[in-house]
Amino acid sequence: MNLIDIKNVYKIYNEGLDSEVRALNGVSLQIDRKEFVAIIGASGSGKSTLMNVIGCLDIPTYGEYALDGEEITELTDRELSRIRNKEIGFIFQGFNLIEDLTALENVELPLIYRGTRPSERRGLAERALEKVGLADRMQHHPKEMSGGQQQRVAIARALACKPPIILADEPTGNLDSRTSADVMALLREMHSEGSTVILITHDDGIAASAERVVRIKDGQIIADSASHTGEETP
Amino acid sequence: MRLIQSFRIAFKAILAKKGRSFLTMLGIIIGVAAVIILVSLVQGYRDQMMDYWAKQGENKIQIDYYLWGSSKSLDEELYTYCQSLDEYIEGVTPSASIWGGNISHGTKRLQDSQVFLGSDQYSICSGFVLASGRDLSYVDVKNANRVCVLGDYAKEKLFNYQDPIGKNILIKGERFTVIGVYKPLYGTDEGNGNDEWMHQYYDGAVVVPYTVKRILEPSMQINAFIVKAKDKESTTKAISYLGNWFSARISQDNGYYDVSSSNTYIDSTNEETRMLKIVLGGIAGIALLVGGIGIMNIMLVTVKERTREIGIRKSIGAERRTIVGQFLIESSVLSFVGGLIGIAVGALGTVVLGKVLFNMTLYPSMGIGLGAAGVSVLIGIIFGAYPAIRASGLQPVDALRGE
Ligand SMILES: Nc1ncnc2c1ncn2[C@@H]1O[C@H](COP(=O)(O)OP(=O)(O)OP(=O)(O)O)[C@@H](O)[C@H]1O
Ligand SMILES: [Mg+2]
Repeated sequence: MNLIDIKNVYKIYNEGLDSEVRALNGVSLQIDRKEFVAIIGASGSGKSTLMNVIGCLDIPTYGEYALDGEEITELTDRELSRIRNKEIGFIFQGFNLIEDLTALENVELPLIYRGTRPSERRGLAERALEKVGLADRMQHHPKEMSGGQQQRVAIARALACKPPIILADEPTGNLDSRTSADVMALLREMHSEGSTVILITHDDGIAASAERVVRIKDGQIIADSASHTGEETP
Repeated sequence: MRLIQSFRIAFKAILAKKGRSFLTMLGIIIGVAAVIILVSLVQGYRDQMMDYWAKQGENKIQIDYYLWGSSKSLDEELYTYCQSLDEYIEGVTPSASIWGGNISHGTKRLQDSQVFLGSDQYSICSGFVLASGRDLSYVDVKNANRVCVLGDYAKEKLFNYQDPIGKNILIKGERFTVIGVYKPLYGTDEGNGNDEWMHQYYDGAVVVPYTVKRILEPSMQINAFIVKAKDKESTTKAISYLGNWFSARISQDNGYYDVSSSNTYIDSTNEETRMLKIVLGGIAGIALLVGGIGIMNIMLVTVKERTREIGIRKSIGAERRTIVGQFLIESSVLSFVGGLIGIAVGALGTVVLGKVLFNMTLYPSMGIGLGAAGVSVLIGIIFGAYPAIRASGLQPVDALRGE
């Protein structure tokens, strides 16, 4: 059984209107445990939409999505919350940090919802921030940090929980090549420790470091390096 | 566990958003404080009026009469009649004063003095209590003796705390002997400005037998009297007897008369302040409403921002009820603290404004304060929890867009 099993999924905005947008237009995708997958595609091609569906942040308009054998459209709010909290570490394209909380508090937040004891929680959060090179910025608020630093706080927040699935929506989008390399190294480390990593990127170079590359265009998968039947586009 | 979590998150959120937390509380503080101050000031005014009437003495009957074109006086007759009503009446005295000019004792002066023309029952009717010496007697009145009793302020001005009994003072150039001193009717120990004025006016009294008007102001007619009745019922009875007595003697053709009691003033003061209270209660209600709308606005303006925050919290695994719990706790704490501060500010404002505006020591009306606090706390909680209740049901992506 695949960890992620997406079958013929559609995400349609303003369905039936002139302004109808098919952000996902019949996507099927299977991802196994411990894979390292890069999703690549042009802007507006539906990468983030697909990632949101995978991360249980959005539900498809049509189609089926089973995560670890559980059909997510049939889960309650509580069960979905548990999955988002325990199974998935989501790194957003737009960081999505809470402005009023410090870096450390932001990283601690998922651990609070998990019910981790305060002493343990703090240690985990601090270690995650050290890992992304922000040991000296723990008490800073997002506004007081550069885009790249905010990006790294968001990464630390996703890593602190050591979730089995890491979903990263352009995690290197705001970083210079050196820090990009650091972030990629972090993701590879998570992968080598047993996490499944799914990564969105524009950058073919970064995609090249993944085991598997999925290409998406206009809401459809047009190439998948793991696919036996599909043909790789050059 | 989940509750502790919600509390922890809520307190973090309050502290993190000091500016907005303060603005939210400000609406409640202003609303609650305004209500308390307005209502307490009216209450204080009423209490002071009641106090005034109590000092003036309840169960007093004022009599005014006049006979056109006749020098005939009903005084003696009225006086005798009042003695016959002793079942209801404790005393009767003319109610008249003349301007005494500068009353003096040696070099000491009492300026712009009022000389009160009284009977031997003057003190009963005016509420004065003798401090030393003796009061006016029947004989003093009958013989028009040149004697006087001084109020506390008059004594202080003329004798500066010396014993005045037996000493002489000059009233309009005539020599009068001081036979007694009254205790102050309006104490000055509170340093109360309004009472200070009352003290100078009432306790500045120099009371002489009314019969000496022959010497001091021969042309003057006495046509007002004060009767002190025993209690409320006696007041009513005495008024009707006196009314009958006058109607037998005075008609519209030859004069007028008026018999009324201070009890009616007390009733009308009550009525007046009740009206004032309703009006100010309305104004206070509007203040509360405005405060409430203020709270509502701040809460609603931040819905977008808060919706995004809720989206973030949901996407990292917060459950719906944890989020709603957090927001409920957050807005309850803010509202309660705001309510408490509002009560404190209102209480303080009442005391300070009472001193500054009226020079009175006012006590805040706490019942009203609690009511106002209750209402605004409710508004705060409802509108504080509203974004959470709405947004926590959205898909995280939709909440993240903050719509
Ligand atoms: N709420 C929405 N309403 C209408 N259309 C939407 C909405 N969200 C996304 N879309 C549309 O869906 C399409 C896919 O969007 P998506 O965010 O998945 O693109 P993307 O591949 O992540 O692009 P980028 O690389 O720029 O992040 C876009 O055309 C976008 O305009
Ligand atoms: Mg995107």
